[in-house]
Amino acid sequence: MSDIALQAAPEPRAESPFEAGLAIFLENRWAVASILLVLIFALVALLAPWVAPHDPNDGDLLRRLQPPAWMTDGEWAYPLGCDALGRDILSRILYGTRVSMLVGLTVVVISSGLGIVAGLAAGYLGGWVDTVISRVVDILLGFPYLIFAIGLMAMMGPGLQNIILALVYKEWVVPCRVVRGETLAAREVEYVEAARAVGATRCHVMLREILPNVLSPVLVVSTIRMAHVIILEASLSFLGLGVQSPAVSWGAMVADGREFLYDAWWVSTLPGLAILALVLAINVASQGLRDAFDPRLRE
Amino acid sequence: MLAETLLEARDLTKTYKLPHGLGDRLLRRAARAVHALNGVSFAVDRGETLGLIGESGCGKTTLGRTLLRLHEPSSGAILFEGRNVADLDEAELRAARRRLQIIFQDPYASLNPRATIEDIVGLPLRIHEKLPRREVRDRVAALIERVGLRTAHLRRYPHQFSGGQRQRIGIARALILRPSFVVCDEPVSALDVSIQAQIIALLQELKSELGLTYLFISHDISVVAYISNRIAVMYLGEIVELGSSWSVVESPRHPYTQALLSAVPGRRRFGGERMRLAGDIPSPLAPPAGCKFHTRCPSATEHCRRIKPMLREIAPGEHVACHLYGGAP
Amino acid sequence: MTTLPLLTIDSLRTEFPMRHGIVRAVDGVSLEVRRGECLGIVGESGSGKSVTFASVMRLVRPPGRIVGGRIAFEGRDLLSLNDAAMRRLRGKEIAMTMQDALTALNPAFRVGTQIVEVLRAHDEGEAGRSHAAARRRAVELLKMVGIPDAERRVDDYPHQFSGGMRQRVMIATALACRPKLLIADEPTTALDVTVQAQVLELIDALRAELGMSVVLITHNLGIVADHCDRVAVMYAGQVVETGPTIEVLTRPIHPYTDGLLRSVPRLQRLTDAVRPIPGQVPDLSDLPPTCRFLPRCNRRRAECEQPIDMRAVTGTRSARCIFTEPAHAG
Repeated sequence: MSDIALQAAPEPRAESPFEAGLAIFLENRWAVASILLVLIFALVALLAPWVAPHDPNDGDLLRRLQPPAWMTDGEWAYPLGCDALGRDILSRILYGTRVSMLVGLTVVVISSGLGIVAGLAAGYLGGWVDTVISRVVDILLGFPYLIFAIGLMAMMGPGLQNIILALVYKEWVVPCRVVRGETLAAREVEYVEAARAVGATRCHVMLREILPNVLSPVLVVSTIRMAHVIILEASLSFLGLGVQSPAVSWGAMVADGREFLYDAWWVSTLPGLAILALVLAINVASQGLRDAFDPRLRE
Repeated sequence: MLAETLLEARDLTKTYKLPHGLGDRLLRRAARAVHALNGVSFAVDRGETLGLIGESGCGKTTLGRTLLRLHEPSSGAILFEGRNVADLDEAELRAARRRLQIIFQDPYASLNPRATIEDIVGLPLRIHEKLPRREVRDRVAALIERVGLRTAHLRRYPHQFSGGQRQRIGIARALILRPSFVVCDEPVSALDVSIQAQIIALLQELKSELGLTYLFISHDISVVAYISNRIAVMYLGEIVELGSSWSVVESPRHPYTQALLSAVPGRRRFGGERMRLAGDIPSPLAPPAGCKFHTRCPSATEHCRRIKPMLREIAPGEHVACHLYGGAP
Repeated sequence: MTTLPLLTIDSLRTEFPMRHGIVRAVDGVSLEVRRGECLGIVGESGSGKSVTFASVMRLVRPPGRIVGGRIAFEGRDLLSLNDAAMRRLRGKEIAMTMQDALTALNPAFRVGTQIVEVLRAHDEGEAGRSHAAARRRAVELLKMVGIPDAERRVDDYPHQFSGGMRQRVMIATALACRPKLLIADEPTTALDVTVQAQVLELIDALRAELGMSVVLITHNLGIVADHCDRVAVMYAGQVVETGPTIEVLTRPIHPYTDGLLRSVPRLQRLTDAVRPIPGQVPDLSDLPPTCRFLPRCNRRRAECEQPIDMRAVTGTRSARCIFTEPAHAG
């Protein structure tokens, strides 16, 4: 063989773009801490029945509006106090995690799946497919989110399944738009043209060439949206349209404590803090994800 | 010994229509179009390297892609192996793509960043031949080694390689199915000078080993002249001169070719004044009438302004589209 | 009699701390630019040619930083100037143009506005005081660089110009205050060959008219041959050869210069086989303590196993090599 062979240069590790991004992510201490916090919430959600000190629906009217343990008249058996029906707030917060996490994850996963498929099709196939999907997206985007959700819930009635449906209904347009935009850009890149030049089918191009390269932005967007969804669920529950008893939702807890804000602030505030903590953790983690995985920010 | 024609383009055109909406119609504006290719005809002989030069907007990149139907021609024929590529349906076109391949310019954009080298180079094999995975890997490995990389590199990702190495990967992908005709679209323009030489040498070796025919497109005239047997010069979507490399470089006929060659740096030391052209390249939306080059040509006559010269063979193998070389249009 | 060089770079070192190590982009570069001359800087990626002059302008982007050496302009030490003093120098005494005019010019502002901005900041005459005078001067400058219809085009935005015209606009902006030194970083790489020639001829003409010095950074040896009085060849962060252009290009001493010349096809010598230089540029964060060109060199000896300094070969030529004679004549 001729003299043009490569010399032995130092060999880089076989690192996929995903692994490279992961390495960058792990260097960001805040992001890692936040993701751990989110994982803790998830664990709590899973293990709530075993971790919670009391039955969340078991109310003892004698303990009505009992303050948290560090205040006078509080006791450590009920560390965060009790609500208007004498139920343990800590246990209710722990159980409320289940609803928040479940709704958050399910809505994001389903809407991302739908959004990716729709976005890919619209971006790559173009033509009437794109026109139809884009118009639907435009119409849905035109409705204010919360009012739309309220309307849907009012029609369908409250409950976990319906909340998920109502939120997915509108949520899928966000990943759809992101994927469509990325696909439109990716379509013009040479490696897509190269795949066509070797005879790849449209299906292959969409799934194996374009999709892996648009997943990063979708991942980032989805984690950010999860925080939104959790707040929305809390808002709907606050308005009484969310899950009903005996299921526990942070939003409903906040609503329950409205009347007592002056005397027994802990009934609303503590579940509110739980919402804040989870949403903040998700936001910081998703910032870290974006910094690590968004190809535009690197180089 | 007669040269055998491998691929022939006949009167190929590619027109991009600009959007012409309601507002334009109301204001009675004429519909506008860009004629990226305006009746291009030429033949490529088996085993040769035909070079294609020209400046921005001349259509050389569009021509390369249109021959492979990566852009659909607006009209004209592409004759290859007895069939008109422009007429093939999707399945026939996919089959034809085994024999008609392309090497891209940008080593950074032409490889999927999320695919391994094995995936990228093996893709053509997986599409066209139903081979067991082990055999695909073996064939990919063999070709990768041939282009100067190592088998260990199969599981790596493009971002871990330099520009020159990526271009080698692109070459392997184009050649794994043993095509007969390869369009080389500025394959070395994005590379460092010393790496360019390595890739040029590699392309030449592979050409003789595998019996390939190249259409070599580049804006770097020295490189094209070095590697090509014949050279075609394009201006605003048309071929203005076509001949052997030697004659085009040593005695260019068309005034545009003369101007191009005199502008190549490094000539001054060896004498020769640069031939200056008047004005800029006209907008492709409003190409001049008659000979498209007349607005800048130092030898333009009234005849040139009105009548468009056709590409004619004025000596064996030498074609020019210019009224200076005589005769009726 | 030797006159003081306009710009002296002495043992400059600039490095970039990266995740995988410290990249020594400029590692002991010494150069001088004389008054009125055109110095060509030839090198490929990783040679340090652009970073060297970004260091002169003190425009190295963090995390890059200058870690050693001296840069003297008209005797003044540039590395010791504070930001304000450096800003006064940039654009007025030393100007730089970049490869990509579309990103170097601000797309949001009209071309005339950008030139006027430079004038108002630096010009000591009327153009520095009066907006109207600055605008007149901007039009004059556009005419000087050959933009047709300058009175109208001074109000156009950068994207309304073609690539070659934009490059000229950038040159006009750079020359607005008649700098003593123009650093042109790859001024023609993205341009068509006829436009390239126009831009380079423009630089030559302006150099003669304004008596300024020019540093022409390029990878194209033909451009250097046509336009530069002297040339410095850079490789892997160091200068490996300097001298008058004709001599360096016809009788190169350093094997890299020789290899480079042999690896480029030339229209005048199409029958000469192109011979690639084997191998690749070394990793700048992991350099061995030998001559940096060693793995790719066809003239290596045992003495090359240690770092080599630049040594004077004649009064006008130097090379970073144990050899002082070219391998072949002509």
